[in-house]
Amino acid sequence: MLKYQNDEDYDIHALLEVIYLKWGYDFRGYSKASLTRRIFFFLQEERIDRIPDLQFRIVRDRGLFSRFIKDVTVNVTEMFRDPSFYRSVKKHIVPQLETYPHIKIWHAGCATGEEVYSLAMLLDQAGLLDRATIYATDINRSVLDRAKKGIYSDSHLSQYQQNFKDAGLNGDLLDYFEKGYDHVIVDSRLRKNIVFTEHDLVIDHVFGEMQLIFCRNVLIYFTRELQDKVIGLFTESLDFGGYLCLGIKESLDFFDGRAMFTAVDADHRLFQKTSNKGSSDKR
Amino acid sequence: MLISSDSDRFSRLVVVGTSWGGIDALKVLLKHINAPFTFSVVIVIHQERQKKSHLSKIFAEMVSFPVLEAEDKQQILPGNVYISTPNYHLLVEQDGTLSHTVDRPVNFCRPSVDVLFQTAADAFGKRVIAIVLTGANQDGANGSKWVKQRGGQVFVQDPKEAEAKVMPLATIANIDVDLIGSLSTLALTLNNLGRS
Repeated sequence: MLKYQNDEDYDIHALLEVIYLKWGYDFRGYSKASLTRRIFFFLQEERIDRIPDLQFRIVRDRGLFSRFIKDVTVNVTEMFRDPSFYRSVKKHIVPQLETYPHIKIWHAGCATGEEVYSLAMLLDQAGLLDRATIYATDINRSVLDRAKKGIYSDSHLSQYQQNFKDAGLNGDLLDYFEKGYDHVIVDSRLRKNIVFTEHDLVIDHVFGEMQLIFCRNVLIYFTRELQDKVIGLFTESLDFGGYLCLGIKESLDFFDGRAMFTAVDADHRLFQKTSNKGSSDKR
Repeated sequence: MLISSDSDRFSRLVVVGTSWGGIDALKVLLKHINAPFTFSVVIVIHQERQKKSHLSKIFAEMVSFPVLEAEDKQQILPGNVYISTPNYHLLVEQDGTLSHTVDRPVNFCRPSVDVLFQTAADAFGKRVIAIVLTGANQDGANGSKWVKQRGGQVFVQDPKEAEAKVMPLATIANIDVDLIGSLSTLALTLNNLGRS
């Protein structure tokens, strides 16, 4: 029986193997339909005709590989994406965080940082920012550099201001920004407790003992097997009683260790680790 | 492969794209489909982005077959209808599951009909039937071409009947479509397939 429908799928399979062997980045567990689309967009961008040509060149050209990582990983994000999600975090999770003298938070797959700063604003208004450390990680170094700078075009500003209000925060989003000519810069006060660092969820390891992990709209890019592995990584990285927050199309339904979690707000995908039993030992 | 046996497999994969006027059109189309059927239906409809969608519940109350909001990595089963979620692209994987992304909008749309149609065609080729209903933009025209290139069929709602003609007309202008018909004609054609 043929494994794939189209010849291109064999080319992509080979490309991903070669990238893993040469550069150590593992895309083999990514959902194929969207990854394929992004690879074909990349071919167009680079004016490369065929995937085997890309495969030949990407082994030999580090610059091309860097651009591949930049374009093929997904970096779409926004301030206070799903405002009602942030209202739910404020209602259900913030009161628990208040009980800790120091709060460790991991924002996995933070892309250009908009949601990291959204969380920082929320913590600021709860009076928790000074005792929090947010580890903001991504596989893609170039988006992390942008996240670190905290400079954003003002083209989406009015929508972000609306999201800010809908998320239930006080005042105005602009209270946290310095306004430039066509951009805004995040106030340095928000940035001082955020540590931006490279981390690949597929190959890298457990990350501290966290009270809160944000990972929104990242797991949807993974196959179910890889989702399972990454949620296992989060489970091990979470303190007992800690929280895991996912995107609204992501769930723990298929996760072996789902019995370790209690849904705090199922609609908004807020989960609390309430048991240490039932962990999968497969990893 | 996740698929356990052929009986879990849909006979055909019917992908539907619609925008302006789509809710009313889908109500008519779904009401005219006779259950049980052996195909699966996956629908992308453009909706306002921040709202929680209740469409699957509204449709499910009208008909006797399951109408579900698509879940990530969910197996597409015969006899079921799946509907997109606002602000997420909806894609078909080769193993017969659905997946989502927050990739950039296509044709200013997320979900995009083109994305659904193209990934369905890549995964299931000549087993795909794409249906373009009422809509006020051209999303779906490129995806329909892709469906044809991969050996599938394309049906279009008669623009005369459509609340917004742009989407059906764009597809008709772009390719040789297999059928142009009223909603009841489209449903009748599906019913004839669904018995096989």
